[in-house]
Amino acid sequence: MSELISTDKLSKKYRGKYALKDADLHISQGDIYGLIGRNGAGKTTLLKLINSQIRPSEGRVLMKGRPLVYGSPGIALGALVESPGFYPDFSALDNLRFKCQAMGRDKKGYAQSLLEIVELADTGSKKARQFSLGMKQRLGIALALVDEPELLILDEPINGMDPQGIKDIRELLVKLNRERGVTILISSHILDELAKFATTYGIIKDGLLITEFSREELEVRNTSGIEITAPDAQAVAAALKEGLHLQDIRLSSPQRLVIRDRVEAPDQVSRFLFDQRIYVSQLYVRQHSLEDYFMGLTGGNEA
Amino acid sequence: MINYLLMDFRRLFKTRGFYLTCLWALVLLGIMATASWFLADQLARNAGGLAAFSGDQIISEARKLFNVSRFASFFMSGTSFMHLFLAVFAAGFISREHQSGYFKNLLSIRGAREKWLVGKQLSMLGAGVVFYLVIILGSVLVTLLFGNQPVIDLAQLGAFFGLHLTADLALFALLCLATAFFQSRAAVMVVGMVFSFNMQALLYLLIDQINFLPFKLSEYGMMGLAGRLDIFSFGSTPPDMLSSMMGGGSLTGPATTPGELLPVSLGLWAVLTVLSLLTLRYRDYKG
Repeated sequence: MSELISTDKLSKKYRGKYALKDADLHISQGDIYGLIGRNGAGKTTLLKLINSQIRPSEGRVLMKGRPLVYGSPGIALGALVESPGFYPDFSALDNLRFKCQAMGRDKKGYAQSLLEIVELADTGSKKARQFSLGMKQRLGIALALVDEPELLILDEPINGMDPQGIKDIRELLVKLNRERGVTILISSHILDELAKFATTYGIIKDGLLITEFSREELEVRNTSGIEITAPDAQAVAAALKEGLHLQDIRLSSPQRLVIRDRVEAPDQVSRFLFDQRIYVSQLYVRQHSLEDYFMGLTGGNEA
Repeated sequence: MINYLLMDFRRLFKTRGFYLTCLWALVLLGIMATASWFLADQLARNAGGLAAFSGDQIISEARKLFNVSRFASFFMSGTSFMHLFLAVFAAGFISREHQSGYFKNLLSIRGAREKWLVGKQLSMLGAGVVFYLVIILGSVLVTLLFGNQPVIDLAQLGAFFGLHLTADLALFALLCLATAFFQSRAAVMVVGMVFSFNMQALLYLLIDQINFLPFKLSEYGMMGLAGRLDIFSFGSTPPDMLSSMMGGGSLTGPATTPGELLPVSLGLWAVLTVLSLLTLRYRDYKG
């Protein structure tokens, strides 16, 4: 697929300190790109740079291969970065109508149809300031959808939402992606949720985009393993290497080892150990999550 | 650009504060008219033109001096509350998009920052026109209440309020600059209030006192100049007795001519607009 957005050594400095440094991001058309990082890692800075909210200190943003002229995006773009921006004294419909008017999309019923998409159609004349956090997020998403964007930038869009709301937004994003071909760049702390629908991931740490990978690559890189606990893990590893010709065995402690290959056949391993009368106290298949992978890369506890 | 402008006007006419501002202006106008009713005889005595009359006749004759132009001029002269009302409303309106974060929704529009600047200035100019029309309407009403014929000299009122609008335009440009720079509603409000109420004149006077500049800065204080505009220097309606008593249009100094106010207003507007553009382009949006 062709590249919709990329960045070339994109950097942003605040008071001499880099909030983002040399980021080379690549988003293909049709991707759901999950941007992952700790608080203050530089996710929002990157999203703001792509949305022309802030100017880069160095580097550039490319949209469809052409450098972004600051303030003149080359593609239809919708964004919800940080908190949703709306006029608190107006209703959801008024807020949408204002943007529809500014975008030249003031067709009759269009704003209402956007409210229906995000399930705010029944809010009537209720002022946006009286909305719950989840409703505000939905309004922010509706505002981002006004220009029928090719690229949708969402910064923590499911913050403050209840489980049903999170599911609804996920389904909406997947629907937009599949049916309308909207490319989505999304950051979220809820990694398990992101893992359910993102097709590509980027991990950002301390202002550096340290890696990018597809869902398929994640599955390969992040293979699950057969974890064995035994009194002498080294002896067990040696026996498995010799008897089953396993190559990728890692000792995580003197009593614990992880087999990375033959994950699909834990029964073969257990039968071999049983036949060889090798005592193990535990043997199970461990499924690694995106969170595990993220923690492994960033060495932290907080996503 | 048209779409952006239409959005601004749509929001303007849906903003309750705009109607409240006009209402407050009318309330103030009513208070000033009531005061004028009771002060009429005093003013007339001072003017010295009603010596032939006495007692109730003086008061009655004095009240006849109040026409539409006189009232309109009255409410705009000196350190005007009218500019303050308009400035406070404009500060809230102009800064609202940045403060609320709505502005970031609009950044995907090509040239959004430039359109924002033009849209805000023109929509506030529109608000100013409506606001002054309300003041003229109020002046007509109080003239009728005084029992006088509401003669409307359009050329006179148009020129007078048009010049006030040039001062307002520069004020709107200043508020745009403050918004782009501070991105805070409170800060823009303070700037709006200080400048519309001419508080900066004290600073100008101080600078003039120490002869820091080769010219008198206070002579170029825009709102001061606007406050001293004499409505009777425009149009065909001749100055009345009250005007001659006040030595022009204001109690605060000699009357300002259009040739004095226009260059200052338009010059400031141009400088502030360019500074706003540069600030919008080079200052990061915090929202």
